[in-house]
Formats: sequence, structure tokens, C-alpha cells
Amino acid sequence: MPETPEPSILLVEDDPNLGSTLSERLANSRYRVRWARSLRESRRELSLEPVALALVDVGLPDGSGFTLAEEIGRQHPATAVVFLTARGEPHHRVHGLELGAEDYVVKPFHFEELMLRIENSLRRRRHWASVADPLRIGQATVHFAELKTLRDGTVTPLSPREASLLRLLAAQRGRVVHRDEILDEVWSRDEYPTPRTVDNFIMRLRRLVEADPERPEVIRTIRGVGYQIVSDPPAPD
Amino acid sequence: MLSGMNQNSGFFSGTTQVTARRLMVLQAAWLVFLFGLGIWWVSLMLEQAGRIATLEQAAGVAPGAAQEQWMRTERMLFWEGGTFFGALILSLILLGGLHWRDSRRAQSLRNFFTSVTHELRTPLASLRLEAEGLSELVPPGAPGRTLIDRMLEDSARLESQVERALELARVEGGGEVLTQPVDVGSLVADFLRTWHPTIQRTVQIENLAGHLGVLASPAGLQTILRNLLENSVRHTEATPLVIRLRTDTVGDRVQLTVADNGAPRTLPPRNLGALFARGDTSRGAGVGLYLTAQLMRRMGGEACFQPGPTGFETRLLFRSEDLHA
Repeated sequence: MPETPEPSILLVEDDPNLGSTLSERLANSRYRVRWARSLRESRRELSLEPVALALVDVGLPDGSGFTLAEEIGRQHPATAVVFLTARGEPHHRVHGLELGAEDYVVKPFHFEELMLRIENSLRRRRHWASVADPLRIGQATVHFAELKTLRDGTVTPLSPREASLLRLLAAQRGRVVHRDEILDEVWSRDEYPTPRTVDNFIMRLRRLVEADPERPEVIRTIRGVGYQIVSDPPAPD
Repeated sequence: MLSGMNQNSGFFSGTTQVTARRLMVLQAAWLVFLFGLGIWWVSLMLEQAGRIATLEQAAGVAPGAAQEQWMRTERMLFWEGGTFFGALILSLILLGGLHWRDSRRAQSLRNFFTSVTHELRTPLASLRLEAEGLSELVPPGAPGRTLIDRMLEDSARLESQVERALELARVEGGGEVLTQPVDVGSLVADFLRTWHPTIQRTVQIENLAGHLGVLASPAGLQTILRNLLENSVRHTEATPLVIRLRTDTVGDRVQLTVADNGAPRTLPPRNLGALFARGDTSRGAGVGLYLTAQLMRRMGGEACFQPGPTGFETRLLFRSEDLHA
């Protein structure tokens, strides 16, 4: 049986001590690690070979890690981004997650916790890799990488979170996805979303893909359990 | 020398942006009041002087003398009024300048404080990572392991202090506290799963927090829980230390109670929650309870500290939220 290749991580960290200790420890934990100390080095590394996950510091000598995350989102949509930063203020966290980062870890951190977050992020990405892009869902064609939906010639932008939720449901088309699973997979641990948060997102997604959002036929609510994208949605008119 | 500072002095004198705005409004109102008073006084005196001149004329005083008397009074009033308004404007300019200088100094200190504590996070992360790496190499009981454990403990204590200092600077600087509906039971359970006392103590935690919806900032609530639990560990001698967490519905609000079985704090109850207020021990910087009270206020709730003969109790009162509505 062939061995699963070690996932590759690009560590973007300008502090030499933290960078070298962290690369060593990640390498000891079965990851292939490449270490970049600046935005410029990160761009070069990414152009040489894509990575499964980028662990990005926000404050870099030649710019912001947020800029890098945006670039990765556009140019390497398969790469998961996890921020690892000293900036823990709420608006920084929100901004980082809005850029589509899988997680936001504030320094100092427990290595075990970081590993857990990295593994969760990679698992989510693997899960979603099985979903075609673009994908027809109900009345709309969803372009996950470009974060948009196309319906009757009208383009509607999607937030990274909406795209993640739609992708999770699409990946398990025909199956009921439990609310707790949605919360675990789409939201970060620190965000403490409630079932109401999920319901609000579903309402908005229905407006994008359903013929009649009041009588949903594509994204069904399974009362008390969760949501399901039906396996054979009605053909668009 | 944090302990030497009182609530009204220096850097963290509570001059948050909101307080500063209120001060500005009060100053403007005071200015309007003083000007109004001055104008009223001048007009009243002029009116009185006019009446006196009329009475003098009626009493048979020569018109020239009455006119001269009236002119003298008018000159006196203009000079006195002018001096009054001049002094008033000068003192206001002076006060405004001093206030502006003080605000700028406080702001620079806050920025410096924030950037220093912020800069500490990266070396602290590195230190912890290195110590954790060492602890994996040196098994428990081996020579040197105790030193590594102490290093990890000290690193955790440093982290805790840095976090408090940063949060204090943020809250005092008017930083946002973003609230959202939160399942308090889940948050407490999640927090307790990862929380470890920063000094080696046997801590027994009884968590009876139910799944009730509250309006809170998850990060803020975590900071509050960390402060309260660390305070219990730091200030009580009971062994084992028992910390109980419980939720109750109080009217239309949700109360989270955090209580321990330690000896009561030495701080007078009226000072609990005041900035830099400390008991007669040298432990702590007097920031934890202040932060708790401030964060609760910013989340639309309130904190109540209750030292008792059998321990210390903190009641956190939140606005309740329906998680499923």
C-alpha cells in the first residue's frame, strides 16, 4: 500500500528563533516544512511548488501577512491558510478569517493546539478537494475559487464562509449534514457560532440557489438535525 | 511600581475615548455656562447703572455730573467684564492645552505599552516552544526535568501577565469588544478543556454551567474566566482548591457564578474591581478584577465580587439571548 505523502507546509515567520524551532518541530511531526522569512521569499517558495498549508505571520518585514493570504486565496485556492500572529485584537481576527483563512492562532500558543488546528484545516481542505469547481447547485453555478455565483447572467459575490458552507454541503450531497458538523467544519473554534448563525447563512444561500427560497427544494432543512443538498435537484427552467 | 498608582493617576486613569468625549461635552457646557453668566452680569450691571443715572437725574443731580458718573460706571464695567472674559478665555486655553498634552502623553504611553507587550508575544511563543521541545526530550524524573518544568511554569505566568497587560491597554484605549450570541455552557467547557493553572496547584473544578444563550464577546469572556481562575489559584491557600462554575437565570438575564473555597481576599470589598487595587499581599498587579468589571460593562452586563468567609465569589450577569430564534 503506498504511503500517504507528507503534507507540505510553508511557514512564513520573520523571527529567526521561533521560525527555526517551529520548522524543526513541525518537521518532526511528519510535515515537509519550507520556511520563508518575508513576503518576497514566500512568493518565491509558492511559485516553485504549491503547498497544502501556509502558516502565516501577519507582521512581516516587507508587508502584511494579510496581503499574502489574499494572494494565496486567488492564486493557490487549494492551499489552506492559518494565521500565526501576535496580533490578537478582535478586528484582526475578523479580518483574517474574512480573507478566507482556515484558522487564526495567536502567539504564544501550545504546540499541541497548533498541531490540532493544522490537522483540522488540512482535513477540511482534503474534504473539499472532492467538490467540482465550478459546480451547478440549484439555479446557480457556484465558482468556489472565485467566490461568486452565476445565475441568469447575474454574478453575486460569495463570502469565504458562504463558499465553505456551500462546499461542505455539496461534498456530502444527498447526505444530511449535522449542524454541529457544520459549526466544526466551517467556523473556527474561537468564534463560538450558534445554530442561529448557521440558519442565517443558509437563508442567504437559499436566496442564491433556490427557485423559491420560501419553499426550498435544493437546500433542505432536516428539523432538529441539520441541512442537506438534495442529490437530484430539480432541473433549472 | 504599579501598586503605587491609584485610580485617578497617570497612565491608566480611565481616560478612555468615551470618558474623554464626556469630558469634552462637560467642558463645553461649562464654557457656555460661564459665558452666559458673564453676559448676564454685564447686562445687569449696565441696566443698574442706567437706573442709577435716571434716579440721579430725577433727584436733581446736574445732567453733566450724572452723565460723567454713568460713563465712569460704564468704563468700569467694560474693564471688569473684559478682564473677566480675558481671564476666562486664557484659563480655558491653558486648560485645553494641558488636557491635549496629557492626552497625547497618555496615548503615547499606551501605544508604547501595547507595542512592548505585543512584541513580547513572539519571544514568549519561541520560549515556550523551546521549553516544550526540551520537556519532550527529557523524561519526567530525569535530571534537569524539574528545571524545564519550572521554565514552562514561568513562561505560562509571563504569558498570563502579558495577556492581561495587553487586554488592559486595549480596553482602556477604547478598543472594541465585539459581542455576539454565545452558548455560555459550551464556551466555559471549551475554556476549561485547555486551561491550566500557571503555577503548580491541585485544582478541582466543578462545572455546572448550562447551555444558556448570552450576549458576550467569546474572547472577552475567555479573558474574564482566565482572570478569575488565575486569581483563585494565586490568592487562595486551600488544598485542594475547589472552583465551582454555575449558571442561573435571573429575571431576563443569565448569571454565571465563579466561586472558590479559598480564604477571603485581604482587599476591602469597596476596592474590589478598582484598577491597581491590591490586598496586603504582593501577589498580582491589581488588574484582573478591574478588567473583568470593565469587560462585563462593555458587553452590556455587570460583575459583582463577593468575598465571604468560605471563599470568593464572582457573579457575572449577562444579557440573555435565544440561540435558536
